[in-house]
Amino acid sequence: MPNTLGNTLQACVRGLEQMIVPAIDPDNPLALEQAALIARTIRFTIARLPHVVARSRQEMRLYQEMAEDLVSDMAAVAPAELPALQDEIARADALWHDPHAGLERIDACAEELAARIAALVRSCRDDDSAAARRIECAVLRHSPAINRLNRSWHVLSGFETRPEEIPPLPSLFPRCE
Amino acid sequence: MLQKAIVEDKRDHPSREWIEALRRDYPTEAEFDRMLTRKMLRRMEPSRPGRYSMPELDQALRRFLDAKLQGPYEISDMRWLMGGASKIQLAFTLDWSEAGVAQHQRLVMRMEPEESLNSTSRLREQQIFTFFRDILPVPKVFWLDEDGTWLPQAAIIYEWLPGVSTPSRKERRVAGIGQSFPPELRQKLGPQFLEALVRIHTADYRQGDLSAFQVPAENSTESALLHLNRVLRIWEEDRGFEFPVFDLAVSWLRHNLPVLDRPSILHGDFRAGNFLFDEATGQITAWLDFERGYIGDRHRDLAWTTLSSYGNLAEDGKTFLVSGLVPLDEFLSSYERLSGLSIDPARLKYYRVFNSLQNVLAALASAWRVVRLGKTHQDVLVAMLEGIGHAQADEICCLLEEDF
Repeated sequence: MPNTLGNTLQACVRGLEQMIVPAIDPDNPLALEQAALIARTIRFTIARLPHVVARSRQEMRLYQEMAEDLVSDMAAVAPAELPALQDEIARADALWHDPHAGLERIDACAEELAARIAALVRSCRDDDSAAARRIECAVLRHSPAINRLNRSWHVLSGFETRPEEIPPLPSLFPRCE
Repeated sequence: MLQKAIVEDKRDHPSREWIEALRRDYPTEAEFDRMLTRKMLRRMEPSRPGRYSMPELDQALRRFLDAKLQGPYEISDMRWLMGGASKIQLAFTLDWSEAGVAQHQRLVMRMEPEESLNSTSRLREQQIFTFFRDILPVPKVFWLDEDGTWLPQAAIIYEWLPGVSTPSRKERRVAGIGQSFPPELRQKLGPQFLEALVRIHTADYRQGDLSAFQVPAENSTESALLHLNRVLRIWEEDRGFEFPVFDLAVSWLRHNLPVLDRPSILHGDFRAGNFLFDEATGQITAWLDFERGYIGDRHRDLAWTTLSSYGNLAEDGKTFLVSGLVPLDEFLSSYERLSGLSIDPARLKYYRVFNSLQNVLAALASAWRVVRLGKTHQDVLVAMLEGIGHAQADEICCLLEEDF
């Protein structure tokens, strides 16, 4: 049996646009706008649904790569926190290589990595050492790839002023995805 | 990356002790402090979307007018106003009598939702509209319900002014962000746009009642620090997940706090979408949405207005148009010439980073929390703002690249 969810969601959009919107009082622009935005959100979901897992995996991988780049300097700046970050890197790597890893675990791991890196950046604030500067540089160096992934994910929401400059979402996943 | 954040967190049910700790850790302007404290105290109240239906608001408005007007009155033609993502706005016509003289006025009620993307002060909005009455086309304020005594939330009622925010022959952008204008309209609107900003920044804030605003010390970093603290406090209050770029930008801002040379009144959201114009004549008829305004560094407004997200490219595909209206170079040089105020590239850069950080804050932290808690009448729109946050994070990376 094929997955029919996309077909059902398309029906939701048609129902909204062809049945519900025409029945809304034209003097109620709030209701009309909400209905239009809901239809747009369902279209967004239809387009993004096939990529949900790949996107989460890729974001986790990008945070993992960022974290790996921080390990040597973290030993100097925040040694007590290093084992926990290393554990999280190992967990991310295991999840990356596990074809059955669930979305919840992947997202939780990415979130934990981001939290540990954010805390490390905060701990560098009053540290004048070269290691602290290298940590900040590494975060800055790795962040554009994460931004690009999320901008590509959200480009359909219509807020990008130059959407043609945003790479298509599948092009940002490794070829095996 | 939202799974873990769906678990209950303390931000959904802030304790009074935690709110006090945030107030202590992030001192900001007194009126902003009052608004943010109110936001957190009200966050604990259950969400009641029914309070914001048209019939409920009509009843609440009648209770308010009963208290404000002596004699009978009539409300008619009440309808929703669209265009923004942070406030509830209704237009209505009021007929009443004042000192025996019949009054007939189209009005706008602008009210906070249960929790807004920007928890701002209606008192400040009233003061700033009143201040600019003789300087710019702004609406006359009729009434204020400062703390939501009669209405469900704090609200201001002001004169409805005619005009449109977007050209009818162009694609309408949500909240006017990135709006484009045809060349003939740019020629008419561009100079007025620039002149309005100059008038705002050169107005003498001492010549009127702006008592809800704090005047920061000149030749100090006080202003920049107060507003960085405000951003950090909201980040603490609202975020659902961590974002290393945010923390990196905060580090950079802390190390680069600029000295204020001259306090100016700031609009706070000076861009297309926040003025109305007459499409036939190309005349600007109203300046609105001063809610983010404060007294501070003019570079804050200049950096905001010139954000890439708020403008677009001209037909040549190369010239960046500020707010879709004025070429960037022309905008900056004309501003200096008309205002007599210099533009310092270092401060402009500081506020570009700061403004992008504010947008990341609103789109990735406040919008997320508001939607999670179901606090507005248009949560679907608020949820869609997330895309802006990642574009702004990218802008931060581009800006910081040269300094690391």
